[in-house]
Amino acid sequence: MNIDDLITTLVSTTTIYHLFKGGMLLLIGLYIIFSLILVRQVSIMMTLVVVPVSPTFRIIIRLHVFLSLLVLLFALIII
Amino acid sequence: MPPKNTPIAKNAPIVSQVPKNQVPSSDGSGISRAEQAMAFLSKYPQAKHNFSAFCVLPRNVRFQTQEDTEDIILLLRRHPVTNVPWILIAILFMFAPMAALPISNLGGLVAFLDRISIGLLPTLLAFWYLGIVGYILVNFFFWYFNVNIITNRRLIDLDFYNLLYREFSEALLVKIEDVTSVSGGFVGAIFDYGDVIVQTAATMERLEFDRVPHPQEVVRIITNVMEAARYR
Repeated sequence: MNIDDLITTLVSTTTIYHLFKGGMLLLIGLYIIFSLILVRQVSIMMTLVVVPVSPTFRIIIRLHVFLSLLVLLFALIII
Repeated sequence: MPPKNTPIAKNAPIVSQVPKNQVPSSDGSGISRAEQAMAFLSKYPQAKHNFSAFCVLPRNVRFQTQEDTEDIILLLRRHPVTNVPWILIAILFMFAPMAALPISNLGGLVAFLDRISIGLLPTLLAFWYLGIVGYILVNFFFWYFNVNIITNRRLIDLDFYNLLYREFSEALLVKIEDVTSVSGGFVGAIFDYGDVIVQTAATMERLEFDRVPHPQEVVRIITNVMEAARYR
């Protein structure tokens, strides 16, 4: 059996598909948790040192969470 | 050396708030010794924005435990050139898929991923670039908020080591025993940055300002601020 036949066999079973999809969604989920921790941490940073650009930072960091949610949504729809 | 921009006005807040007549001048000029010690600040340009790594009398910056009578004299961050490694890594990672995809096409990886699911590759790419955005944000915020603050009362060292661990150290100016600057290395010598080590009373830990710009100037400022605090 050559490699192409092996891949064809594996793909046809759909196990590998579910493995990839589950892994991908898990990774994105972990990333969302990371982005939420980042929001919290930046908010703590901004209470310790107050700078005039704080509102901009808040928008950027929330946009990052929004982006990660969009990627999760994209993954759920497209995979 | 400090850049030659607009010098701070003689009546800048930090100078005018030094109480007069507590310790009379030795030269009979009518200026107190505390004021004399602080007058040196007029040769430094006042910070125009808050993204600088060497902000003298930064505007609209406060910190959590700041007292009403306390003024920030100097706000320090790591020298901007220390950000170059992570910026280069981010750029490299941005272009990595463009370089990797043709290679992996030859190896049949793209075809393999497409066979599993047509949307897997776009999702992987979206996640990859999202990760780069996160990497840039984390590094930028760590640089921006890892600050060293010199006020007219104390020194503050705020360190964020990672997302979950931070350290806040402070030392009163009257407790400082020794200030040393350490500068070394090829890049440090070219861009004039180094560490400033502040030794406080024996029971306290020392403060370290890592890779700050103009370490000699920082030592000079701390020494002058200490002198002003002593005569106040």
